[in-house]
Amino acid sequence: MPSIKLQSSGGEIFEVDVEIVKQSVTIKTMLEDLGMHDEGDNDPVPLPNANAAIFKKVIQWRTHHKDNPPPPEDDEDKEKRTDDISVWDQEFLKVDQGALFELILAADYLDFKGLLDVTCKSVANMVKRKTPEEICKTFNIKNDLPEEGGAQVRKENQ
Amino acid sequence: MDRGSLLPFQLWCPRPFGTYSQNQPRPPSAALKPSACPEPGGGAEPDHGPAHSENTPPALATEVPASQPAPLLSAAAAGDEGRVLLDTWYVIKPGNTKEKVAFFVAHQCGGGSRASSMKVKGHWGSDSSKAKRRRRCLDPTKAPPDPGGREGLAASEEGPASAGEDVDLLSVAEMVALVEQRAALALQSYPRPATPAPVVFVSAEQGGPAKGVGSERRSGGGDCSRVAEAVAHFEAQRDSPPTKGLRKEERPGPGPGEVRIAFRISNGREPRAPDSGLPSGGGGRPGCAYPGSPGPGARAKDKITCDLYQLISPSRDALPSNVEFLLARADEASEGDSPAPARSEDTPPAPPPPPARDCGASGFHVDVVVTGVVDECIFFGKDGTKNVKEETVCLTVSPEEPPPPGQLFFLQNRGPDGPPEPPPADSPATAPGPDDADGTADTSLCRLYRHVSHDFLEIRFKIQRLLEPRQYMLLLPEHVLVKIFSFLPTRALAALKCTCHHFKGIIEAFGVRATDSRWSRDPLYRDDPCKQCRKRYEKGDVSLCRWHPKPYHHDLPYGRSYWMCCRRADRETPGCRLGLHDNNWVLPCNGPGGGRAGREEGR
Repeated sequence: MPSIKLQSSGGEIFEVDVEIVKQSVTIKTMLEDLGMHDEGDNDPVPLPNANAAIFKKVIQWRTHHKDNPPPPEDDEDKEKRTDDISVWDQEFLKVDQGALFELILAADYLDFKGLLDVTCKSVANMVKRKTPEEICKTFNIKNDLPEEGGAQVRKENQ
Repeated sequence: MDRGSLLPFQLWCPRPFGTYSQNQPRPPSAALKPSACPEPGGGAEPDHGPAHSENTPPALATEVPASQPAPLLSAAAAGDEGRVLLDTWYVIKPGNTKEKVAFFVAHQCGGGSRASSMKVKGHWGSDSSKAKRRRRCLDPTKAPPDPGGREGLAASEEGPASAGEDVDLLSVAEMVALVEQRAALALQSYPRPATPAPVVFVSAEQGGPAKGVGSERRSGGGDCSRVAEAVAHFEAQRDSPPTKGLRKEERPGPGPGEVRIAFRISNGREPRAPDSGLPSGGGGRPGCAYPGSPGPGARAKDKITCDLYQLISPSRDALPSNVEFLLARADEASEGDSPAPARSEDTPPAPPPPPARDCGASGFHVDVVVTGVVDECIFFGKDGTKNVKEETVCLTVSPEEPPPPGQLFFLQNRGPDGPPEPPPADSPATAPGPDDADGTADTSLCRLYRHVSHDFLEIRFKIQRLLEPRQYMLLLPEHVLVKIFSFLPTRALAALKCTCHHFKGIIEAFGVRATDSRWSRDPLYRDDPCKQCRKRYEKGDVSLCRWHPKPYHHDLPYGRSYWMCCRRADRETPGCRLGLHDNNWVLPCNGPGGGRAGREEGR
C-alpha cells in the first residue's frame, strides 16, 4: 500500500498510508497542489499546524475509522444528536481538555470531518445540563457580562 | 517607679538675668528628689541645693529665705520636688547652643510625674565669662565643685543616696536617650504579670517628638490606663469585620495613599483571655486577628510590635483588598526565646490570612501616619523607588535589651533569625521578596521596609499565567464554536449566552438554532409572533416562553376558531410555563376539535 510522509510542526516525520490521509481534504489538496504523487515521492508533506503528539492521535483515529464511509453533509433539517458517539471514540476521547481541543484544531486543520464531528459532540456533551456558572468553571471562562446585562440575559433565556 | 533607680538628674534654672540669688527655692516637700548630681559644695546644705550663690542653682530645700523674692518659676516648680523647672521666660544668657537646647529639652521632658529631670549646669552668672561644662557625675563620691559653696540640691539633702548623683552637661542626643531610658524604666514599674515590657514612646507621651516621619499621637495621652483603653478600643475595632481600616471610629481613617505605622507596646496590664476578647469588650477573638493564632497565652513576653500597613488604593471602599497589613510572623518558638514581635492585623478577605500571629498589646499605641499620595506599595525604603514593594518588618524591642541611647524610635530588625514575613496577600505587591534576609539586616529607620525586585515579580507573574488553566473554548475558531453550539438544546444555548459576551455574540451573529427549537423555518412564519408572549423570532433567539404553545383550531369554513392550550379542549386551561417559543402551527390531530374542519394555516 503506498504511503506518504508527513512532517509535523515539530519536525517529526510520519509515514502513513495514502488512503488513510487522503480523506483529509487538506492533505489531499496539498498533494494535488504540490504535484506529489502517491508513488515514489520521498519528500515529506509539511503540516505546520499539527504537532507530533496530536498528529499521532489523529492518525490513530483515522486508522481505526479507515473503513467507515465518509460522513454525510450537514443537513439543517436533520436532527442533531450527541448521544451517538461510539464506545471506541468515547475511550479515544478520554483525554484532558487541552488534548481534546488540540484534536479539534487538528481535525479542523486537516479537515477530518468525522473526527471534527465526534470531538465537537464530545464538547457539546460537556456543556449540556450545566448552568452558566458551571460552564464557566468547566472551561475556565470569565463571566464578563455586566451585572445588569447578565441578569437581563438570564431573564430572557431562563 | 523607683526613683532611686532614676538617673540623678535634676533640672534647675538660673535666676533671671543670670543670677540665682533672686530665685527662691521651692517650698519644702515631704519627699525630695535626689539631685542627679549634687552641686559643688552641696553638702553644706543637706536638704536643699545651693541657692544662695549668685551663680548657683536655687536651693531645693526647706529653707526658703523669706527675703528672697519668689522665683519666677516657683508656681510651676512648686509641685516638683527637688528642682526648679525652667520657665520659658527665663532669660538664657548667651552660651553654648547645645546647652541651651539641652536646657529646653530637659524642660520639655521634665514632667511632674516623671523623674526625667535633667540638670543643666552652667555658670550663668553675670561675671561668668564662659559656661562651664561638667561631666555627668555618677560617682557618688565625686561631687562637682561648687563655686558658690552652697550647692543645696536635693542630692545633698538626700545624703549619701544622692551623693552619687551628679549633674552634668549632656549632649542633646544623650539627653534624649536618657529621657527614653527613664521612660522605659518608668513603664517597667507598671505591674505586669509577665516580664516588664519595654517602654516605647513613653517619651512621646511625655511630649517628646516621635521619631519617624510625621508622627501622630494617639489620644491616649500620658495616662497608661487611658492608653491601654484606647488600644483596647482599637483592637476591638480592628477585630470587627466591617471595620477594615484601623481605628476608623476613632479617626476618619486613613486617607488615600496614607501609610501608617503603628507601634504597639504590650505591658501586660490588660491580659486578654482567649475568648474574652479585649477588655473594652470589642471583638470576641483572642488577641490575634487571625484564626489559629497563638492567642495571648502564647505571648511569653510583652513585646513591642510594629505594624506597617499601607493603603495601596485610594478607594476606601476597596480597603479590604487594598489595605496591606504587613506583619511580622510570630514565631512561637522564638517568642519564648526572644522578644519577637507578634502582631496581627486585619486581613483582606479574599486572600488567605497570614499565619497566626500574636496580637498586639494593650497599653501604649502611637500611630505614625504619613500622608501622601501613593500609587502602590509605598514604603519608606532605602531608595523609595516605585519598585519598592511590600514590607514586612518585624521590629522588636527586647525588654532585656533596651535600645541604645537615642535609638528608641529606630527599632532594629531582628535579622535573619527573626520572624519571617507573612505570605503574600492577594497581589504581587505584597509578595515577599527573595531578599528578605537583606531587609532584616537593615537597621536604620529608612530600612524598616523591604522591597521586592521587579524582576522577581515579573517572572512570578509569568509563571502564574502559564500555570493557570487556559481558556480553550475561547481559543477555538468561530465556525468550530458554531458547530459545537449546533449540537446543543435551547436551554444549553441559553446558559451559554449567559456566560460571556463572546458566546452570546456568536449565537446571535450566526443565528445558532437549538436542536429542539420550535421556531418555524418557513419564511411565512418568520414574522409570526409567539402565540402567548407575542415575541418575534430573532437570530439567536433561544428565549423560553412561559406558556406552552397552543395549537390554533379553526373550524372551516364557517366554524369557530380558537386557541387551545396543551391540546386541551377547554379554553380556560392554563398553559404550561416551561414551553419554548413556538410560531409553528400545529394540527390538532387528536384534539376534541380534530373531527372538525382543519385549521387555518399560513395566516
